[in-house]
Amino acid sequence: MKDANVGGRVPAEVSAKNKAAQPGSIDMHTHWEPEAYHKALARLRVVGGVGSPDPLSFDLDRRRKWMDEHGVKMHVLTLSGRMPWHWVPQDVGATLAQIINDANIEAHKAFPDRFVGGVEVSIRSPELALKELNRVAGKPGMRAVHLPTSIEGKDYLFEARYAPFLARCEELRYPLLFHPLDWDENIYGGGEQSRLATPLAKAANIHNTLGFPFEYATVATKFIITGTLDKYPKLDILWPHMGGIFPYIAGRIDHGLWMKKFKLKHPFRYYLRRFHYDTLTYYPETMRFLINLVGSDRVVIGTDNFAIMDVEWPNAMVERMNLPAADCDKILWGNAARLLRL
Amino acid sequence: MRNSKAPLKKSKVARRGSRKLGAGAGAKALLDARSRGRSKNASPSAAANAAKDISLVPWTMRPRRPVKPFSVDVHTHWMPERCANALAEIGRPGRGKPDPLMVDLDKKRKKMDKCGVQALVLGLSGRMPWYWLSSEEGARLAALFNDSAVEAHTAFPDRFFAGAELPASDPELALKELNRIAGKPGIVAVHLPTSMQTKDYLFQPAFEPIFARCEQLGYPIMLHQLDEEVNYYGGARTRIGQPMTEGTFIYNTLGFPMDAATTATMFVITGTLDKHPDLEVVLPHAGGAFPVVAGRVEHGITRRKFELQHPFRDYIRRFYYDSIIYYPETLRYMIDLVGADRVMIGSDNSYERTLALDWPNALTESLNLPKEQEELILRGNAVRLFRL
Repeated sequence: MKDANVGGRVPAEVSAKNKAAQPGSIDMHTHWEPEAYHKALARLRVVGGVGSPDPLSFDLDRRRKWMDEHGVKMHVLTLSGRMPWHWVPQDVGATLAQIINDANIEAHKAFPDRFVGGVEVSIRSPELALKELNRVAGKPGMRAVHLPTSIEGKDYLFEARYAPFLARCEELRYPLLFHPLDWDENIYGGGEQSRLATPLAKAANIHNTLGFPFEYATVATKFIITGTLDKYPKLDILWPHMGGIFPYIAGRIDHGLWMKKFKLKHPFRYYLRRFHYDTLTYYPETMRFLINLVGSDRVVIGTDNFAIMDVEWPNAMVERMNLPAADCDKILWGNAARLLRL
Repeated sequence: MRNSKAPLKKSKVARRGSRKLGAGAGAKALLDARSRGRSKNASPSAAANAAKDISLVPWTMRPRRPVKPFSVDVHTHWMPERCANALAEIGRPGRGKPDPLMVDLDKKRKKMDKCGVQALVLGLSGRMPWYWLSSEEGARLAALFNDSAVEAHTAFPDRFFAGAELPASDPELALKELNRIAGKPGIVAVHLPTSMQTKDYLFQPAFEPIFARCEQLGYPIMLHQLDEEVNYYGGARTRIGQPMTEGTFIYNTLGFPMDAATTATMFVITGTLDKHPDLEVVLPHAGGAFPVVAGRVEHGITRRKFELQHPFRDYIRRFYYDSIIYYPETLRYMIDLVGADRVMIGSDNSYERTLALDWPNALTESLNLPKEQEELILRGNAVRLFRL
């Protein structure tokens, strides 16, 4: 088969080209854990919160250097799937969210053209979440909202009590950046009982590599069938990992709704373009399919840096596709700049 | 690449790949066309066609030219009368009066003639009853299906073949039935559920002899998901089966692809495909979600240093895939990824209120693939795989 460009490995000349005249890309799927957060976890005696030990996870100087070397202009900083909201007490969660968001604001103030942030919120409590959102709304660098796709198998966001929170996100024009939660109780398809939670499945990492893609399709579909996208017509949503299996099975979902005569306000294909998708497609054929299906104006760079599943060369796969320059620029930074209102 | 100002050409029949979907032209153009309102050259047929915008319902695409039977449809369902009667006797009849196309072989042949299908590889549907029948009842029902299939093939040897049904919940009786039916006319494969009641029953040690025997016989395993709540992906009361999803069918439209992707991945990570290097497996509904997620699974396996005998990507081509997918660009991508020599026509015929493709060959033909690739998909791969 053609080069399995899973990690986006690229010869030196491509990254050099990227460094040349262009401003570099905006990576909308990258993780951090500020030191203030680690300290707070220790101080609050919260066990098991720390995710990545990688210094790139919290050292912004090293991060900036890495970005320079890899053609990336800007990172949107969010916690990873180790958002602790579902297992810390809610008030502790609220405190942790404040600490992370304040650190995010500081990061932006220090390097305003390099870092912006997804607001973290203690999402199990819609009231506390809204309170924190309002506290940081408009503060420097706060540009989006970071949310779990579900909590312990519950599609919490579609409960009525989250409506004010969603409405405020829409009002602020903060796109929702979704990410599934780690930990066994969140494994797709039944938590610890899931087919993806057996010892073999976990050894092969499929609780993550299948579970996450299944999450996005489920939540994306629910956004459509519940009318939530219609209720918040200006709400933007970014799916990491290309939206998982959602683009591939979209036709099946569409056909099912059509066959059942389920009423949607718009054709199903319209809703495909209400979402944005990042470039974690792993195979070039898949990237081409994604861009073809949803449009080059709906795709943004995502890398999962610096988690274990990340890719090393953020821009490589897109650059190798020989897209028209305008489309390539949109994917590298134009769409993100629009979404984040930079 | 994208010309969003060009109005969509509306034609009565499928355009054979005349519209290049570049950079999302299709989706954006759809939205623009709708918001601009319908075309004003209102001959009645133009208006009627505009109302049935084929790009919004590509699964209803029809062939452009008159067709003659040619393709082999490897994903199609049949309820022999004997089986329906047996189930009724046991006390759990089917759901109301079955669709005649599900039962009646003459009707099937007429439909095949009409839409260019030469032969079917038959199986029971997603209502395979192995998980709720007793072992003996299951064995009896499987035998009834298989004997009926042999009769059907004997009557129409160039039209009907079958995947043998086995009482999957009892590996011993399943092997017994497999050995009984092996080699009988028209039996070319084995038909099995992807999972049962959310369990990966296929990969229990007791099932090993069945894999070995299928490999030995040269019988591909044709997989199909099970209907009914207890088999929903993630279990009943699951996220895709909750009340809020009622009327959307997503327990099927999401659940089935997730099930197939999981089972396919299990075939790889259990080492089953290595242990049985000649075993063939056919994934239904274009492989479910497996093609699109394979790259991510590979990446996870590499990063976690999980040992496989071969690179994960090589296993993608250990499977066969049917063509049951509903957007042309998705079908094109799938064929591109897995290879035109691994794809076969499927229809999901037939009973009402399903996602069957009324014209099984149409979407594939609309892609305007090179002739030899198209013929492989329509017919050649199935003839080779099932030794027809």
